Amino acid sequence: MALAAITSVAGVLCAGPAQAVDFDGYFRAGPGATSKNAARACYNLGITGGHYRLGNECDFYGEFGLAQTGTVDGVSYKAKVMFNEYNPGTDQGKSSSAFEQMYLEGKGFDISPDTNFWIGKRFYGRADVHILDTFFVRMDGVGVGADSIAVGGGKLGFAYFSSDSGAGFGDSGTGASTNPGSRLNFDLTELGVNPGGKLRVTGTYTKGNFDNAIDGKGTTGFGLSLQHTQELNGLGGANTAWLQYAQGSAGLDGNFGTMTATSSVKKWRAVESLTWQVGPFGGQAVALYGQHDKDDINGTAKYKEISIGGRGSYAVTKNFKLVAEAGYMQKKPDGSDTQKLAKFTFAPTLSTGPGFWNRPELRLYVTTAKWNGAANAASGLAGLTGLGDGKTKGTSYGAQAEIWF
Amino acid sequence: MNPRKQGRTKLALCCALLFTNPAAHAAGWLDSLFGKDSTQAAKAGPGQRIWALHEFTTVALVPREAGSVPNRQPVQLQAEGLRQQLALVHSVGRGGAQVPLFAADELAELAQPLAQALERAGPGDDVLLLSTSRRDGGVLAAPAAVTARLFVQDNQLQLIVHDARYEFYDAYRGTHVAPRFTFGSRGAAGEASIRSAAAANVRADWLVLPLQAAAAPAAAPAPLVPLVAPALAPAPAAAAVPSAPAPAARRPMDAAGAEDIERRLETLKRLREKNLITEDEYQQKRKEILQLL
Repeated sequence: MALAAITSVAGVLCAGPAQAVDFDGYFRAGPGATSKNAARACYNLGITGGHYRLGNECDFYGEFGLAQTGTVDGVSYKAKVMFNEYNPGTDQGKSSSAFEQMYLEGKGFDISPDTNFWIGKRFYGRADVHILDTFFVRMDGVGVGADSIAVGGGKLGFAYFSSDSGAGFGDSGTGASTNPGSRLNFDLTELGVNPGGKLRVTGTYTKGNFDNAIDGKGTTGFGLSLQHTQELNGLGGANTAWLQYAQGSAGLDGNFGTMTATSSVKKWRAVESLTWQVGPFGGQAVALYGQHDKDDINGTAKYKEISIGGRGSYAVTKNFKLVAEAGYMQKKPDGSDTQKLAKFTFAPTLSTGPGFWNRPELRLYVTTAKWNGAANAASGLAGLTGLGDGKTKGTSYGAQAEIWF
Repeated sequence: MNPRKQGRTKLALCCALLFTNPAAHAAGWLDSLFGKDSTQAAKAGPGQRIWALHEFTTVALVPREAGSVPNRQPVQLQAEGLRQQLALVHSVGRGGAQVPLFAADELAELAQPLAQALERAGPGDDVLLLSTSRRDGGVLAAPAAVTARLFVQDNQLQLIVHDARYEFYDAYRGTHVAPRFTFGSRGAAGEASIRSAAAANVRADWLVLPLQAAAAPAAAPAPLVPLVAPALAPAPAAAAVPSAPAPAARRPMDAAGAEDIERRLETLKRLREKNLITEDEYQQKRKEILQLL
């Protein structure tokens, strides 16, 4: 059914003038192994920033978008659909497909020519650290909004999102909300605050539309995110820093958080990320610290999280890079031992260009990791790797293709 | 939200899907909203200042650069003539290798919006062009942008290119930080180097395309369609331009025109003094301007 829907929409998109259709996408896929008679293992800690992805992705994932853009009588429109394919393990069984985006936007209407209006399901306002595969701002969802409004040297946007029961986004950004809720966001971007520096301020208000198991009412929440991006021309990259705070059912990333959390549950984090490309040497590094309050309803203790790591690439030739990634992360729940994980990957890589960001990449990798018993215990009987062997170190190897287009 | 996919890949995708989906033979998607040809600016409104073709492909009218002399706009150009002229523009690489600045399918989309923008532009407007394409590189090639400024001066279409191949896309996808584009400028030379068999260089990054096309250059396979319709002869039906105004050079000279020429001569002199143009180029342009008196 999913394939039929996808081909139908794509076919209709292509029925118009061929030059009218934009096609974009991303996928990663490849084989890997850990040890004899065991499934491939990956090494992640259950915190934000607990997933250094190079040579550490056991899943298969692809997303493919089609868009049509046009301008008629001064109004510019864009309609976009994007579908994805995900499998947590291999390419056999348990695959899921979904329409991740389906929205229409337009700009140039006579009542407000410079405002962009949109309605639909979409990725929205995303800002990430690639090596962690983590979006620190991610207002994705089903909503309606207006943006690109010139305010004080910046651009302002407003949006309303709704998550129906059992569908949509929410619950800590898992993409599988189990409770209905409503969300309001404002997003003030492109504020020039210093030479080469831009500030972004994102606000969030959430309200759960359901009966809470404890007090019989829905929960509210709010959040505020500050993002500063600094061009670093001498390094051929940029520095991005986030300072984020949220309470209740609001997430730190501007989305729904844990919908059942009471409004008094607080959390905050600070993130620092750097990218560079100096000659053949490119890379990205990140440091993160966060605190989360105790959540009685969901039975989670107060905890602190730390993550620090980076990935570097060195272009030996135009098409051959040596890439390595290292990361250390820990989680300290009140009253429990600190969970620790360190991971290192080495990946000889073929690419179409020598830059850190050049894609596609065809990479071989070997990943080794070491963690402690607390990290195993926190993951349940199967342990951190899911293999259930009780080990606190492991090595995986494999090959992976990654492309965006 | 994404750059245009290379033509053959699109064709392959569409063909593959057409075989599985008979509905694809129906009317074009969103025809009811956008009209029969949603990507073309055929229905551009009189106040339109932006022509969005793809996420990173846009034609826009902006205030002309500070300190520049007023442009000789609006002007009605023949889209086909413009397409042919731009098809002759090549980017010169560091090793001297030349490649077409635009791909054929890219130009097929750009010509009409560019012509419409110049038709709507006033003396105080410049036209900015951002055009992103894989240019026959296929899905494995990163899309790259051409960033340029266009305006009409001295009875010629001025084309200043800042970037001939700005490879921003991979970093944009990797960081989600919006790219910043820089367009050609009268006052500062960009890194691009462009050439055309049918146009003269003011600078390495700056070409002047004659509005009245001469005979086809050696590099052209056929005579060029003039950028503006011949004043006394009816234009071919396919490229008809109703009531095209006479080009600036044919207007009777008045006081304002004389002042304009004076400003142009001063601008030309400044360019020479800054060594942005050669002595030969200076003399040639000076002669052309003086002939307008």
